[in-house]
Amino acid sequence: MSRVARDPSRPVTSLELVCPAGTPAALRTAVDAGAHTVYCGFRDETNARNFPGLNFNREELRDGVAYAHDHGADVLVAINTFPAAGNLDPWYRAIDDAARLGADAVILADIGLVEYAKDNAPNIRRHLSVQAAASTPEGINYYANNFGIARVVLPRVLTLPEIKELNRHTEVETEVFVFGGLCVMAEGRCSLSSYVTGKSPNKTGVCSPASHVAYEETGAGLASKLGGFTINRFAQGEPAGYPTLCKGRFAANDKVSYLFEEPVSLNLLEMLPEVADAGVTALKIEGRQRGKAYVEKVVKAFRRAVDALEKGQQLDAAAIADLTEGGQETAGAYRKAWH
Amino acid sequence: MSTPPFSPVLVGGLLLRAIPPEIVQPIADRLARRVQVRHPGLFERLNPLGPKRFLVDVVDLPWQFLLMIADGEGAVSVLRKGDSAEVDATIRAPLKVLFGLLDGSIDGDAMFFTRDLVYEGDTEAVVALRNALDGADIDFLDDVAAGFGPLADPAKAIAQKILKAVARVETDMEILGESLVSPAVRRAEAQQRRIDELEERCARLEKTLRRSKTLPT
Repeated sequence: MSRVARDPSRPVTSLELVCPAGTPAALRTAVDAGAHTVYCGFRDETNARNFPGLNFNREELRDGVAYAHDHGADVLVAINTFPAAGNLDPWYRAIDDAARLGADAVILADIGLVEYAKDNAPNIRRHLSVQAAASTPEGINYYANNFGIARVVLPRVLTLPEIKELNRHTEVETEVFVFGGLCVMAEGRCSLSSYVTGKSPNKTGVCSPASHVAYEETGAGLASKLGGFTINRFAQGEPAGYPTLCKGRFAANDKVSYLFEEPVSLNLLEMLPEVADAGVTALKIEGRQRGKAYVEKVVKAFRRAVDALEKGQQLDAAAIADLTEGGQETAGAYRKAWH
Repeated sequence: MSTPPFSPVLVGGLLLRAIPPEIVQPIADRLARRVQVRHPGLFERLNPLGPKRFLVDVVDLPWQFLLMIADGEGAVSVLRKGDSAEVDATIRAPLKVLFGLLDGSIDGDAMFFTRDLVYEGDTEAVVALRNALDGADIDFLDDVAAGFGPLADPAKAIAQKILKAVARVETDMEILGESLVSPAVRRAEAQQRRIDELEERCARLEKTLRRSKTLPT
């Protein structure tokens, strides 16, 4: 399976750093900070970060691709939501335009769109989004054999030994998340946001849409609300978080706690040698909804780490903790400490 | 954050109290027009939201700024601190944080998570504004200096020197501030240690009491 790599100076054995670009400015920032590859989406419901003020129009994507290619980086376009029945055109157009505008790959979740891309945009690579939740060699190989999937973004539910074992049974490149927001649910199958707001990350591209979020200062601290429900309350001085249901603090059995997951961010910076040993091809940084300052700091830190790893040097665990949600970080399921 | 940080901007802001908003308004108008011309994509990104009004409360300055956006255009109205206005959202932060958001050198989410920036009202509008500003590649000094025409470069160089001097003063003021509050901090830490000890003793006593109640008589 060939790599996306366009930069001839990059050894084929190195880990590919795949970085978020919510805007053209963030794309340029990511490329300048050392991203091997950036991923982005169009300004509509075809991608899973359909936030207001974010994403690319067609002209911006064309310019972004040119900038990235001029600097030896690749551009992946996320078209990773599931089309609504009877309204397939926006998704078809997104695939057609990504190919026409020079993107290097499309990141897809819906099996029908994968088939469409294979038939209508055969010249660009097809990556299987984490939203497709493919986590077994059989599932991944099925996509590869039938739809020519070149890479799969693995769900954040696998341990590193499981990823290593999976890589032994597939030729498909694997990409894993190494930093950023963490989904505790199986991606592409979570309906918590729909349940409270009527908006789905899978179909409209937004989890806990900002239009349904409110923060209110109360005597007891800052209350975060989603769809009118209080999801969390932060005491004075306590780091706040975004109100997603899975990261809410609820009272149960007379105890207030994070029932599902604390508002923490994934950070595998210090585990990169083990990640490389598991045989993955690419490292993905989450955060298309975050700003340029986040992109620059995280991409630089990971690029330094990838370069150091390649040269057999000590990893510099740079201080990026201040960019994490709730000010806390975790290795998530990669280093599973529960059963 | 409702209490402004101890900074040169705060001291400067106290001195600026005597200046009425009417004096500042023409400068704000000129800057808004310049941003509009130099960054046309900024307001275009906000179009899907429709007309929106944001009150930007710079906590260490004596003024607030009412940002009005409609039909791909923006305007700013300068208000005195405490003046009320009908708005969709209010954003409150020190000047340094707001400048950082404008030029993208500060991560808005991180500032919000740590509560250095607070807002009230329409979350979608605030998120959209943040995203649009971040994507606009604004260099505020550049935009201000552009108004000086052929003298733009020297003007920018002078402004950069002033900002460096302000940063030095800020560091000095931080040291001064820490020195001033250190006796109070030490007292608070000693009190906290005492509270921790008392809580521990209470917990031990409660445990002993529970055990004694469960003993057979």
